[in-house]
Amino acid sequence: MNDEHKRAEGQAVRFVIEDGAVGQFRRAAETTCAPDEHTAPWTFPMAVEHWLSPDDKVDTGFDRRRLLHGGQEFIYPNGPLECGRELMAQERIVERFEKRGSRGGLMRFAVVETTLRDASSGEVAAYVRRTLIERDGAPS
Amino acid sequence: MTWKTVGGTAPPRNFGPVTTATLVRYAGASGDFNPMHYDQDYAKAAGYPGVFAQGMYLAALLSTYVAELFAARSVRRFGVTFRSQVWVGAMLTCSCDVIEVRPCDDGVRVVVSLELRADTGSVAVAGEAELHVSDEMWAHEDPNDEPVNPRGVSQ
Repeated sequence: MNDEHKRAEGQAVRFVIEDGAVGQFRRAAETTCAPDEHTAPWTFPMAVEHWLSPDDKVDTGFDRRRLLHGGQEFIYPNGPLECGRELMAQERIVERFEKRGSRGGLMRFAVVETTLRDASSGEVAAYVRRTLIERDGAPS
Repeated sequence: MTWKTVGGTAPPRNFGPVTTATLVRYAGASGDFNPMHYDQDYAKAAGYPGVFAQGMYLAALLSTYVAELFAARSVRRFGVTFRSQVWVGAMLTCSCDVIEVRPCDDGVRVVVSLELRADTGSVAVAGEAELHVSDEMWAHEDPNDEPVNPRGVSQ
């Protein structure tokens, strides 16, 4: 089964925490306070994920039609991302497991971690973990 | 009575109603253009009663709530799990319970348990955050510590 995922580690991609993109995200997140010393919203790395091209991303091998987003976690060792910061993002699959659902169907899980590193120092700015679930293909 | 103690509950905050426009705005800001969240025909063809909110849009609202309760700078960890769908028209309430407080170098580490509920009563998003809060902010008592309610939605 493990051969179903073609790529367990993606390419490192450079990006900048850009003021305009952060401003739009803040508005979408219905922020009412003034920007706190120009930091990006805590979930802003979601925008980074969608800028990666399919070739840069990992491939879980999961069927998109049966794919669920189970959860998402953001770890900031030194606080939130600052606007203007230049980072490198790289995805990898860090965990895979299976569980039986309440109706007996097999659910397959994959945890994909994106590491965001400072482009010049290499220091980790954030770990972003998303839990993906592939539901059983059998009719319930 | 301060809520800033283990077992305390912060003032809740309302968001909503969820509209197609708020979902499109989040789609644009995040770059996630899955049509399930703004195209009624597409969602119905997939067997849903209509479009529903991106889980990460709801997570973004929950993070806005916590960031404005403490400070955007305070975050060290923010995690969510998705429990149920939220449909267009829903009103939302965010809540925050303090589950752990421990002193650290220059302030306190606070762990909070979070929920975002739709007005149908079901929990849509459950979450947890770990925050690094300054001593001044943790000790600060705001006599007007009312729920932040930017759109004037009644409780």
